[in-house]
Amino acid sequence: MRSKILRALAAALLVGTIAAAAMAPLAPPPIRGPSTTIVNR
Amino acid sequence: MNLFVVYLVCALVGAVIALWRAPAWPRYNLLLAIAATPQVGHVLGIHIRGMFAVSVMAMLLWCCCNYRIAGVPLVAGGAALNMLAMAWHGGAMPVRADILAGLGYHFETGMLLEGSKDIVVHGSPLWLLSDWLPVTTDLFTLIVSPGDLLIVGGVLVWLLFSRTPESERKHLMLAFSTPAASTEKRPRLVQGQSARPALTRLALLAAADPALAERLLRDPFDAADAHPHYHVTLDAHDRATLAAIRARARTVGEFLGELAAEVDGT
Repeated sequence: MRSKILRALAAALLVGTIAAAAMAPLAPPPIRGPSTTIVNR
Repeated sequence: MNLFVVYLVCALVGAVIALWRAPAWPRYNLLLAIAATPQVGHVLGIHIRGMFAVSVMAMLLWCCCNYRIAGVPLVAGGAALNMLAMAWHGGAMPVRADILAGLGYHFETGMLLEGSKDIVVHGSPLWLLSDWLPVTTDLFTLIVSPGDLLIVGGVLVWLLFSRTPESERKHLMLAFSTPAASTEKRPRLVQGQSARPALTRLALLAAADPALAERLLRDPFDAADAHPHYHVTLDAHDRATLAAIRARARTVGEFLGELAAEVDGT
C-alpha cells in the first residue's frame, strides 16, 4: 500500500511537471453575469 | 492562477491512475523540471531572455531519452507543436482575438494574458497550432491547442499502457517462489567432473533461476525439456533419478539439495 501511495505521488509530480513544461491551455476566468446591484437614483 | 488548477487536476488524474497500475518509469526527469521552470516563470509573469530555448532543449532531451516508453512519442509530438507555435510568437502561445471574442472575452491584440502562457494575436500563420479549441462547461472554460490534446493522449497512453519490467519481474518471482524456498539455504555444488552431466546442467540452471527450480519441483521432466534457452537431454537413468528426488523432496531447497547430492555422487 505504501509503495502504491509513493508511486501515485511520483506520478502526480511527473504528470504535473509534464503539463507545466509542455502544455499551454488558456483558462480564462469565468465571465461575470450582469450586476445585480440596485442603484438608487 | 486557473492554469495551475488545470495542472493540478492533471496531476491528480495521474496519481489516481498510478494507484491502480504501475506505468514504466521515465528517466532523467530532472530535464522535465528544467523545462518546466521557465514555463512556470512565464505564467507568473517572469520573462527571462533565452529561457524558452532552455525549456525547448530540456523537453527535447527528455523525450529523446524516453522515446521507447509508450506515450512519450505522443507527448513529444504535442510538445513540439506547442513549442513551434510559441517559438513563432517569442515564447508565448498565440490565441486569436476573434476566438476569445466568440467566448465573450475582449482583449487587445499583442496583450500577454495574465496567469497564462498566451498572447492575443489578430492572426498567425501557425494558428492551427495555437489555442483555438474551446472546451466550455458550466464550471470552467478552457481553450486548448492540438498539441495539448496530443500531450494529454500521450500521458494517458503512458499511464495506461506502458509496462514496468521491474515490477512484472517481481510479480513473477512472487508467483513462483514459496516461503520455504526463500528461507532455506541452497546447497552449493562441489566443483569437478560429474558422472551425471545432464543433471549437472539442470542443477546449475535451477540454482541460477529460482522459478525454474520451482517448476522442476512440480514437473521435472517438463521443466527440463521446456527451458527457453538451454535444452537438457535426460536419459532414462536421469529421469529415474529425478522422479525419485521429486518423490522425496517437499520444497525447492530439498529438491536442489537432493539433486546436488546426485550430481556430486555423494
